[in-house]
Amino acid sequence: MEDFLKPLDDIKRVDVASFLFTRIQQRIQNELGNRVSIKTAYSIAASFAVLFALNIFIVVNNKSSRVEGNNIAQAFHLIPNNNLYE
Amino acid sequence: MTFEETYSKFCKLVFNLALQYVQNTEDAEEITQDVFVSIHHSLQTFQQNAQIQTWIYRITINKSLDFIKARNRKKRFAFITALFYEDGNELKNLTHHFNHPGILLEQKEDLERLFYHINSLPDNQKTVLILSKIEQKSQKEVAEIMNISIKAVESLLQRAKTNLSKKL
Repeated sequence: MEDFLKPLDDIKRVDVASFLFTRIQQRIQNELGNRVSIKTAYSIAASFAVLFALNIFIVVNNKSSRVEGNNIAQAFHLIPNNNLYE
Repeated sequence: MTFEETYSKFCKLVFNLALQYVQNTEDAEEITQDVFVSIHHSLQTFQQNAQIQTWIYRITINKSLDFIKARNRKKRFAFITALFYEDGNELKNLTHHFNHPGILLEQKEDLERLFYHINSLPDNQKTVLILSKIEQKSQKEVAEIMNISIKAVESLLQRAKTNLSKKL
């Protein structure tokens, strides 16, 4: 039954081309060059977090100043918007 | 063991095993590169309680199977593209060329036919057949490499032989 597999026994082992190791080293060097260090990744993440927090702070502060503006307008009987015919 | 030592000790093993999967020198060289880049990344974290040779066998098998899957995916995509565009060069480049340097010229035709059918087997049957019949590994070693029981190896080998005998 196994006769059809007999030719597989005659397969010879082949030597590896000598340039392959140089290629592998080159690939490793390239990958190391493209890799971002953990320190850099952390500092980028931290700057994004600060930027995000700053944005939220500005948005929240903006809302409260608009409310304050409306209160002043009411106190001086001013029209708080430009719709004069309402 | 340093990376250079690992390479000089196992490069022939990796290249020849990859060659049995893809039957093409250029593809086997590409797989060998992938395997040793992976080894370089994880050589420091490699647990010494596992045998290094078994570990390298596993990486090579996985990389070879991944390579074949990626090639088939590209081929399918190129075939669909060729239906809409006249230029079929990409499809021509992706067709599998049988170029196994370890095979004698007078046996090339027979073995090319045999490998054609071996390539159509499911991955685990193909791996068992390559390891036990070409790499001459014992069933115990095959079981260890594939992380399965000896009984499972026996059954996979039997199924592979039955499937091949039907096809041939």
